Amino acid sequence: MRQCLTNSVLVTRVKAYPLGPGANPRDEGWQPTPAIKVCVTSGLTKKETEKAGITIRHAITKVVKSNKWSK
Amino acid sequence: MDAREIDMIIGNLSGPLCAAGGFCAGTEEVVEHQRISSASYTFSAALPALLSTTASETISMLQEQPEILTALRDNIKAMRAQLDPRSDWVKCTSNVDNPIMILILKPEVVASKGWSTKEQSQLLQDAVDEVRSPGD
Repeated sequence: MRQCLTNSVLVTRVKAYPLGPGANPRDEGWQPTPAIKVCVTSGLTKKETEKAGITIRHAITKVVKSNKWSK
Repeated sequence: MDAREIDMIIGNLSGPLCAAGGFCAGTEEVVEHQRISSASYTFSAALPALLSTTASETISMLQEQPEILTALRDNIKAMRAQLDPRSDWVKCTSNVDNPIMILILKPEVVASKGWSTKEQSQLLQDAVDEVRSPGD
């Protein structure tokens, strides 16, 4: 899991069980749904939390709409 | 729900309490079964003193300052309001009260775009990178 702390946002990617080296994609079996894990903390004010939520939402939207992902 | 209808209640100290270890609670039969059947290494290590103190202090703090929890609940609502159902692309699969929010790409979006598990994983990694350092 990689953790990013920026703009008061703590966001990690929930990593699925990694494939062993040289594993054939056909053999991978069940993988959990890829997800992002967002941790809410009481250490931020409500406004800061809202801003963090907006940052996350905009980032997701931007990536989904980017050339790379919208063929 | 009546607690007596649940076979085993488990909790852990390694999440928000920032310690380690956990507990299981159940009826006598369930506890006996666990003691006999569980792997011996489960009970073989003692909790480091530092983490015990951490857990104890955290619980004290939560008991003495309930406003911490009120602030957290307000923040959970604020964060949720921004993400689910407001986002067109992700939804939160965690319980509404959970401060740890798991966001997955909406199944209908995944279906319409035909993304594989690996592609979803890459997309979400890109999103995390974007949060960390916004590109243009």
